[in-house]
Amino acid sequence: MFKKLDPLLHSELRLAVMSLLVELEEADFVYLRETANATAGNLSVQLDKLSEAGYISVEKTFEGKKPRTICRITPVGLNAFENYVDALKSYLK
Amino acid sequence: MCRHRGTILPIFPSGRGVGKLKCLILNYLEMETNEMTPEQSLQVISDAIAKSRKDFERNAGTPMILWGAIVLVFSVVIWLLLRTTDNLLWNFLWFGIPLTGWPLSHIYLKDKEIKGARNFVNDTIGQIWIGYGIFALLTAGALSFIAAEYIGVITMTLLGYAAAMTGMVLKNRFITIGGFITGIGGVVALCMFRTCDVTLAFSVASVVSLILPGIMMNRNNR
Repeated sequence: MFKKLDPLLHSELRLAVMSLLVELEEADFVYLRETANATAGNLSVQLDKLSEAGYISVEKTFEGKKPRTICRITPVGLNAFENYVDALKSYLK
Repeated sequence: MCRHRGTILPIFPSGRGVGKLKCLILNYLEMETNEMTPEQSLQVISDAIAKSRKDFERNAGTPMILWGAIVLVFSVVIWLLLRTTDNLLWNFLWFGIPLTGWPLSHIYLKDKEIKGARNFVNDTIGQIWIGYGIFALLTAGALSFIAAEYIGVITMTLLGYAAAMTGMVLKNRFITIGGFITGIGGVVALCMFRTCDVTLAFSVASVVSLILPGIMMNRNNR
């Protein structure tokens, strides 16, 4: 029996962002954009979606005079990611 | 379905067609890719994790090489001065290691740091070495009033402990073994203090526990 894949995570960029945040303690918008090879607009929309679902927390700060957006995975997001990977495994068996 | 979040602001003086355009842009930006296969999903996950790890591992050995070189230079200089003058006050030169190392690492390693992200492993290793620095300084500070000749032995044992911890966190056998050799070497030097030249042992320890593992790490991660 195949488990249902979380539609929020079953998107290339959102999955890449979540995978990065699982690995990292925190990452800012610029790092995520460069590492996930995404455009600023697309990343911004996907981060909004993940944040609305409570999968990530987004903190807006300043570094000197430059605005900085820091993202961190939440326990809800970590749990969703683990469930997603478990579901993936059921497809690959 | 398209939701207007107000994040995209196309400018049309008439305002006509703005909502539709917003929908089109948002749909394009959202780029739903639900047709990804499980294999593709796993590939996305492993690629993202591997890329991030590679970023962090690229220059991971450089701080160890830098600090190892500083320790090596100081320990050889102190050894030469102690050997030629027999004046134990030269032991105070051990304090030159943090005084030189901190500004140098701040200047030299600043460009090599990963900007915009923090990794749990790197943070833990950083904290291990900050802890080492604090304990080594406190011990050396206290011993300088009681028994300055023991500064080298104690800081060498602590160095071995910090290096072994780093190796265990990184799951790197070479660093772990180097750390244990250094730590045990420090204890042995403490027991054989009258016959063993501790300062020279410290310079060997800097090579075994810092410089060689650092070079190996950088070579492996190239």
